[in-house]
Amino acid sequence: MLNQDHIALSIRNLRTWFHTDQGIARAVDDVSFDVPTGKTLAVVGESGCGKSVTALSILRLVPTPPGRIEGGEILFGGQDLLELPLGEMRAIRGNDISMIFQEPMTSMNPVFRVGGQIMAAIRLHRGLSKDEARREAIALLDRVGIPAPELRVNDYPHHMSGGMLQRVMIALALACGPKVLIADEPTTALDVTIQAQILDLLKTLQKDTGMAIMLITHDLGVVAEVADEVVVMYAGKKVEQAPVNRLFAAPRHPYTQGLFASLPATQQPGARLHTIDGNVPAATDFPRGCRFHPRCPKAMARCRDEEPPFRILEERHGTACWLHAEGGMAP
Amino acid sequence: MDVVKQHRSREGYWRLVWRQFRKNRFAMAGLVIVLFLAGVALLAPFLAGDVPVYLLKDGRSYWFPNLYRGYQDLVAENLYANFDRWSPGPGEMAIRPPIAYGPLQQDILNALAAPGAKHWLGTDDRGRDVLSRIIWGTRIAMLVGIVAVGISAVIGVILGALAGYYGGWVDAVILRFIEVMLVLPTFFLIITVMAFLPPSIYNIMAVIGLTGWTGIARLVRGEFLKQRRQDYATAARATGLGDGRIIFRHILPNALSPVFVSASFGVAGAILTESALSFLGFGIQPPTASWGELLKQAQTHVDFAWWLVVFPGLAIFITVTAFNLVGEGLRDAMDPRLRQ
Repeated sequence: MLNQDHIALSIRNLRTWFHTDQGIARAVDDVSFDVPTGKTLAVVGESGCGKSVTALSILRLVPTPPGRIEGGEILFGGQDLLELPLGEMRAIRGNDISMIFQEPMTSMNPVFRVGGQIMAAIRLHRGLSKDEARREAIALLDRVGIPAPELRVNDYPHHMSGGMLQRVMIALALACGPKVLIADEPTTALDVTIQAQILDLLKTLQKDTGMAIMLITHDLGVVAEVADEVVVMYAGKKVEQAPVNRLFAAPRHPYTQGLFASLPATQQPGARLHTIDGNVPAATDFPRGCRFHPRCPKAMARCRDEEPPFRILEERHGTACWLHAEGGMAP
Repeated sequence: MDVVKQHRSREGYWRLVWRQFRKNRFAMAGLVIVLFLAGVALLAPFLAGDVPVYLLKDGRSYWFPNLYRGYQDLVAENLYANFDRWSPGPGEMAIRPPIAYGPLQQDILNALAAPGAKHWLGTDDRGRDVLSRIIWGTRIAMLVGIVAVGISAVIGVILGALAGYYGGWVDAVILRFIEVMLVLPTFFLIITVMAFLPPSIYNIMAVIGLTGWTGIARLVRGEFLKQRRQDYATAARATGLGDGRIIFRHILPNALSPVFVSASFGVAGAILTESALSFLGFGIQPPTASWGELLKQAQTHVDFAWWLVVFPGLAIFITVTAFNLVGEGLRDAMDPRLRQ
């Protein structure tokens, strides 16, 4: 087990539900994991599996109503973020924990210059003067590799390309030297070449600052490139967690195995692509028992009725599946 | 440097809107008329009045006595109040506005004169120059229109923003309030209120403004419902900004364009309402010149003095049309679906 000091952010039994007209959507249901300091934890899964809601829950940005954090703890620096008064929570947002989003084009306010948006965050959390904040903003833009930052600082978001804007978003997120960076699919909207650049940038910045990164993605290629540890989510549940090399070498959960089997790179050229049959069920009617059982090729009678517990199989590699429930340790 | 050059050729949002707006000939005509009317309103003392623009009298020169606030100021400066009966003596001179009749200046001998060389648009039953009264009426119309819409816009934007951003019970309460306001027949409400209030121009502006905000509130609410779920709003919250700052600095500028459109139509509506109020006698009180007031005075003589009806009526018609054209032009120019 890792020493407590090495854990930047700890999520314990988080439950975030949405109370919709169609019923209760258990978007995140009893999910726990730790984000280690200076490391990158990737959260992977299909669309709608609860990755983004987990991220939003950490900063308490889940749209309420209909969303509500029903229970659990989010431990950061010895305090439970879910218990903090809103004012203190605001002081943490963008300062100790910051976030970058999937769509750089829509995540910047179109009516403000990019520099102004970075300066606003700097002045809010660090109390610098306007001139100092401006210098700092230029330095940040330089650091994330934007050419001619002293000119670009005056650009409006629509003046920039997607890759540039994602760099600006990263600069904005880094403005106050966060301990944790939550990156919600930061490269999904970008070209492949730009993707690699952005991932490299994140890695470099992590090396320099020692921040923890929680990377949300559905792209196993991205995971292989940057992650140290991986959490696989399915239908609001954590189904598997492992160090990246171990997960790639020997995935245990049938869902994870299905994900790997679906990668085009692992298959014969010209062969039909492997798919996992069916779709992620709607969050309002997840099946009883194991939520994956209707799509699982190895489903047993037990899977229909009883929810599998999360069990550690070997060091830091665990899964929630009845196939592996015997012999595993409770976390 | 490429980077530097790119910077120059880029267009802002308003420049884009303007380019689109300019293509619409009717909207441009409306805009020209609106600007012209604003000019007339601002420059009324220089366009029409009995008080000279420049005066050389008793060896002293006076600049812009027409801007003095009234009779008292003129007397305090030791000037005549009745410039119409005064003509410059030897060594004296006066430069008068092109229409050298005050809006209140009576000339009973020339009452109900038809339009002609002396009084271009004729005179009313007390011999007051109709053109001069219409010009001074422009001030009232524009002032009422713009201030009333200003009040509406402030209320509408604030309530709409709160309703749209917070949703839930805040939204429900504000929406019910809006619905109550919509159910009331506004014009009769205004008449009722004005019946109790002294009929000053400030009361008119306040009453029209306080009853006319519902449309803007609903538009802004709708925009906020759309904008608050946008990524940039979430990103702003993730940066740790407070609600007030997100609402008014971040979302509001993105939600304002329909307000401008609505405000243009609103000015037209407010001018119409003020004219109607004055026509019915609840608005601007005689002898102050307002367009509705002019129409009211015209009633008695409508059978032959056509100029008393036609010209103030035209003034109202042209102004309202112009503001509506500008509103439509803005609406089309801001609609990205219509943009080429």
